[in-house]
Amino acid sequence: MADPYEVLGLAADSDDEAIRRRYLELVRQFSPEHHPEKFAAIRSAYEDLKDVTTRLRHRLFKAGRRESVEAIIEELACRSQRRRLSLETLLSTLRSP
Amino acid sequence: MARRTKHRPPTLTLPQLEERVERARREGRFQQALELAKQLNREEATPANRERLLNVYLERARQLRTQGQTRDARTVVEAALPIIGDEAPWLERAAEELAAGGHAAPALRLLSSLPTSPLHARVLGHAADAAVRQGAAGRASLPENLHASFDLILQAFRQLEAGQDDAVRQTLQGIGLQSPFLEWKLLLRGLQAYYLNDDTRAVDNWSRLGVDRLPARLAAPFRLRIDPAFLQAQSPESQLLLRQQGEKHQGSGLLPYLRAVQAALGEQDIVKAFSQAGTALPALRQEAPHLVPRLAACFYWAIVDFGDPSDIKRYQRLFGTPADDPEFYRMDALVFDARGMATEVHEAWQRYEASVAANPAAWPGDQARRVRALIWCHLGRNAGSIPDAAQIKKLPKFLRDHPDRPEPLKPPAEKCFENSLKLDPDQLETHVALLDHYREREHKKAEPVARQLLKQFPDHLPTLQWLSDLCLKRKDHAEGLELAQRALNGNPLDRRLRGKVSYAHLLIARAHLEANRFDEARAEYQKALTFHEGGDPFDIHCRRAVCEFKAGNVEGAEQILQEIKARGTPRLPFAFAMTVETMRVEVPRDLRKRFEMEFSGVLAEPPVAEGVESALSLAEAYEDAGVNYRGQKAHWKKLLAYVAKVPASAYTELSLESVCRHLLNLDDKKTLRKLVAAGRKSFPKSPHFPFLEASSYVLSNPDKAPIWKVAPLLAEAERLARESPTDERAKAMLEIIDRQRQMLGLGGMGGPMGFLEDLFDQFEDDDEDEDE
Repeated sequence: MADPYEVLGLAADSDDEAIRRRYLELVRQFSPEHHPEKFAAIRSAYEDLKDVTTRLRHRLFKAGRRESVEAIIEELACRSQRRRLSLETLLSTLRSP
Repeated sequence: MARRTKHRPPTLTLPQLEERVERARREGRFQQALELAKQLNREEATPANRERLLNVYLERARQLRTQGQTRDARTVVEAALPIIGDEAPWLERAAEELAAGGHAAPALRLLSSLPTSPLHARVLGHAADAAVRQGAAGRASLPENLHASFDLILQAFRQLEAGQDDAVRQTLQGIGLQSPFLEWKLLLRGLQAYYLNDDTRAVDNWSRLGVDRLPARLAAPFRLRIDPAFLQAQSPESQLLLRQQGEKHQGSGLLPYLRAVQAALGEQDIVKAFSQAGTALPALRQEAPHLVPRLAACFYWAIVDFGDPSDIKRYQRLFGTPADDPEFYRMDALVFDARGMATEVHEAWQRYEASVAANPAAWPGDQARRVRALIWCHLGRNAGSIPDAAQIKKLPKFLRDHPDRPEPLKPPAEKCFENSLKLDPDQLETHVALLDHYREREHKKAEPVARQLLKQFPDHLPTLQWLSDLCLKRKDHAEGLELAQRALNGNPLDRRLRGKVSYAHLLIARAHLEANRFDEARAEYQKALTFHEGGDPFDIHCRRAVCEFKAGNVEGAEQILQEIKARGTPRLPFAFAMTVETMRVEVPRDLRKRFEMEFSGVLAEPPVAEGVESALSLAEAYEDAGVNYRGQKAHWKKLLAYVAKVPASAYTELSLESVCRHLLNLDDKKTLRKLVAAGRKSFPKSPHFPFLEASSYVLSNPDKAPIWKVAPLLAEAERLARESPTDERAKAMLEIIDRQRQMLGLGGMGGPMGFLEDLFDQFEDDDEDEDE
């Protein structure tokens, strides 16, 4: 599960208008009929961020709650530059994990 | 000394020997199967036994090969060759097995006598794999005509490693579509795309690799990271192995530490997790500093969920102090929230609120004010979760006098909400929470709070509905209708709201009818029909008919009755409605008798399911509306007695469920429990029947509900509801189940009777002591 700002792809200082605009863009792209899970995630993220009060409530009671070490590992793995390996190194995977 | 006789195993018959061979094969004991198959073939050299023996030779060879014993595998295959002779199919299989074990040359020699065999390509493919696996030394194991392609592949690998991507493309053009090295070309192209972050092209190339070839195995750790379908297709063990391989060669050096943190947190060993994180943090700050706050968040919430106070110092050492919570008061408060410790929650959040008030810098602009308002609202809910003085009086004695019963909190809920609204009068959440607080306690302040809320938030739907219902209940019909209409104006597609407006018109019609204002009553009945939602509005037409009777318009009334019958309204609900309506209104006695007799007549007939739902729905609506007249109890009793006689099998699943709900609301537990029991048998996947049965115990008297019956029913309902992902009502039921559990103290933190759970735990501990 991801941070609502991440789900909507927004910076943490986004205002009401930017959040609503982005929300509408995303629900057009991910309709509930064709992308039910993604839609639900977008909707939930919007409910957490739609105005100042809900954003503050999120920050007070929930911020970071959905963070996970798995997501951090995933991002780190994706960001790591893909090293070019020799044939010998590749074959070494067959010898040991 | 007695001579020891050598134990000879009993002699097996041929069928027994054969059976043993097959059993050994099935169980994967191929060495034993081979010995037995040889014996069988010696004793009876039939074509079937020969075939069996050759199969077992190859199975044993494959077993040895997959265990890495490729030389022994070769020996086994070569032992089979004298038996194979020059039979082409067996030669091909033997050649394939040799090639798969990396013995290309002998494999090709076997196939030399079969120049047209289609296996040549496969064997050469395996030969290519075996050669590349040996590196430069593998060249010699290949036929001379493959040396050039072999050199190209090795050259391409060197160029790829050096980043010479154009050169790689050039080199690989020398590998044709029929080449045994084609799979290596696909692997290299995929790797090139992967290094250039072109995952689509990488997957496109790798998806064409044969799973039994070496290039597929080499691509697997990389493909796992970028191909979700490939990932899903792997077993959990394979996923773990491939992920480890991938991370070893491609991942950041931090990954093993983070995996260790993940594992430790998974085991709730937070000390170990901190230790691993401490090792990883310096490098993480260098490599990906933006991930440090995210890791801090993981630890923050781990402490909230299962940490203890000493973990705060560890957190502080690694991640520093949060700017908006320098004393960690907020963390304290969240910890107590998570554990449902209402008294401690109240103190901790107040400390944090004071901290925010004293240090608003962390909350720029007017955020500090709003945050404090939110905290006070949260405190209000918290205080409301503990029975106050008025509620304590209503508790059963053993709970009222229990030493662990929490004391009402200070400041009390109303004061907390008041503090919140002083800081932020426009905070809708607080207005709603305050209204809910009073509503739950049926407090007289609920109405003024609702009106104040509507002044600020005129379209707030739940409040409009509640206030409308309140007005209609106390016969303030005009305002009730106005509020219902306002709600509907804001939500014109809401069918329930249309139904409410229809109902409001019905009540107004009733008032006109009682005052003999027949024209006005007629107009209101028409409006009620306009807004009527769902099903046959026979009850409205019945009321219209009664209105006409009362007005002396017998002809008009009879016409309406004919129209009702023509529409096919079942007799039971029609007769019931007319009986009730004629009793409620001053109509001539003979008219009342007429419909009462009709009602009795229907009840005397063999009971049928038709019309039961409508009749019960109407009875429930009358009860909700507070309808009361002389003879009502007898009518209800007769109706319910009739319903009790209708067999459960006469209903569909939906109608049985609907009937049960009405019986629950009409408090006919006996018939309800009989029908839900039938429902559970006939429709075992429905969560509604166990739920209704549990509700029949909980709702009538939560304090005396037999928990040993209710808990398993709720558990069953919950399980079935979760298994019905498309049933929207089942999803809504899950929330109600949670509330019912809280009501009974059956789990879930907090709730007004949350301490009841501790009480039962205490009794369990006492039982254990007795056993000792």
